[in-house]
Amino acid sequence: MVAEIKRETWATRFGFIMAAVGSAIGLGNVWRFNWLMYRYGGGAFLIPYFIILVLVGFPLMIGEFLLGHYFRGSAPKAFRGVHKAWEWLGWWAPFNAYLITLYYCVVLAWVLVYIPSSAVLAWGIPASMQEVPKATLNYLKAVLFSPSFKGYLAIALAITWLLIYLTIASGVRKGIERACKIAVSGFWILAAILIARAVTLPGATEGLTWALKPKWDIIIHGVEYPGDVWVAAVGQIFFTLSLAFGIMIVYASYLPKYGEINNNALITSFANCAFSYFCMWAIWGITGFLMWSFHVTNPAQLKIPIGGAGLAFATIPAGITLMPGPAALKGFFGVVFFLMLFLAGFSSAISLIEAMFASFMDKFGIDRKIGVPVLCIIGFLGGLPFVLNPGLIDPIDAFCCNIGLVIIGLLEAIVITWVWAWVRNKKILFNDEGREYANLHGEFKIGRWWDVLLGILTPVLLIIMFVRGIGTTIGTMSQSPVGVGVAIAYVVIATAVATALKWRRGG
Amino acid sequence: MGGLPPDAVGMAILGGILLYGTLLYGLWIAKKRGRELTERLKKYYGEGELKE
Repeated sequence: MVAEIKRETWATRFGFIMAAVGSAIGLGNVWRFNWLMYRYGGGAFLIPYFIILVLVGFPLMIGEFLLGHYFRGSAPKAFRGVHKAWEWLGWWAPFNAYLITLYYCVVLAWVLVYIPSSAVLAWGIPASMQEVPKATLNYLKAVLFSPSFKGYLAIALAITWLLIYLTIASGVRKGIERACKIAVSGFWILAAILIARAVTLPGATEGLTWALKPKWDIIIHGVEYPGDVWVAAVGQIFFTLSLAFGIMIVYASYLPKYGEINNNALITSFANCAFSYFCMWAIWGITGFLMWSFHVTNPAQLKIPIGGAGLAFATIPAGITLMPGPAALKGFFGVVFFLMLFLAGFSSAISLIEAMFASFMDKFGIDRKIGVPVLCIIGFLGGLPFVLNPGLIDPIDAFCCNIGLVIIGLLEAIVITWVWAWVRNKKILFNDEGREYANLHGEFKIGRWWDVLLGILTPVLLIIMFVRGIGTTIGTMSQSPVGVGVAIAYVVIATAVATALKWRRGG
Repeated sequence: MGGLPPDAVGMAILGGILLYGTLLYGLWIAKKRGRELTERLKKYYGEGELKE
């Protein structure tokens, strides 16, 4: 017989918000949001971004907090609570999240390697200024992407997993809550230091003008097709808020009975997006400085990446190398940037693992002391293929995010509204029971508009996003058919087996 | 922001107001109504239930 496990709770509301914000803010806030702003209308992109945040992100965040708090459990327990036929969806979310963690931690290991590298400008300071971007790109290819097993990356990966283990094994209050308070405060402070330097660099206004100057024609006519700006905004809001991983469900389940739901969802959603906007000043300040250094008027003429991993590992290091001042000062700003990136990614990684562990704990009564080390060891071993072959990341990421997350999010929105309303109250769309519970625990009330946004608008927008992107997604997945095949098999088998097994008594 | 064109400055301010304004609103509501909510839930669940 399994002993009854008392559910842990957050020590303070502030601790819960820091954990939720830490989970939501990750690498994408730094390297994806800025690129989207540049590509989709500059400052004008902020308008669809804000509207989608209000119409899609915020309602779904309330939905996840509601599920976790109402059913007092992780995603499998919460979805089973709505109706047992949906338990499988509750398992798909954390298994998908766990798969993402395998390569997410490899990217964190890259960041970890770059902290000491940037301190000493390990890519070198070429005699000619023109050679600097080439030097950072070459260093990136040699250190991270060379087709060989890189022992130092495996060590960095082991350190990353060890830190995750030490945090999660210490429990909700002493581990996750404490670590997130440090990490979230840390990356805001580090971002502020970086911004102070970036906006005072010569040419910073050039870059910021590219990011902020509204291009209304793009908002109206799109880049590739009319409305693609809105699809991009849906994608960014959906992926940036850590939704459909089961994380926010688990975190809300650790709230005490008198915990708040609606306003916590608002604070978490907007704090996450406010950080993206905050970082924009640093990233585009440095990019503008590069434009000024190379006498170009368009960032595209720089011929170095202005989004994605290339931005973090080549472009920003190039900007740091060219900054005026002694090498030690440049190294300092390099460390500030990569430490900020690591803390942002780390607080997300621990939430991904907690979502997986809590699911096992709820259903099988697995103890934290046993479950967490097992997950971390398997996670480390599962990450090694990505160290050996970083080319696996994009295809598997396309499967996990563009297919897995989008379908989970879509079904989740339907379950919280249509299914819950019908199964438990024999109502159509309007989940009065859930909404009233959220309002009972809310510092402000939500109305029937919440059901409409979550039950109709969100699924429609996610379907459009899915259909529009499926061609590109399949193209990316086909780059590694074997890797993607293994990923699909893992998700399907793990979800089926976990769903089929019996619940512990009292679970 | 002195060197930015006026429309970029406008968008910077708008973005700041929308994102930080709403965030500050949420924090203000939390400060204003947090205690009131706890009192309400104490009555709803009973004092003992809240000692978790």
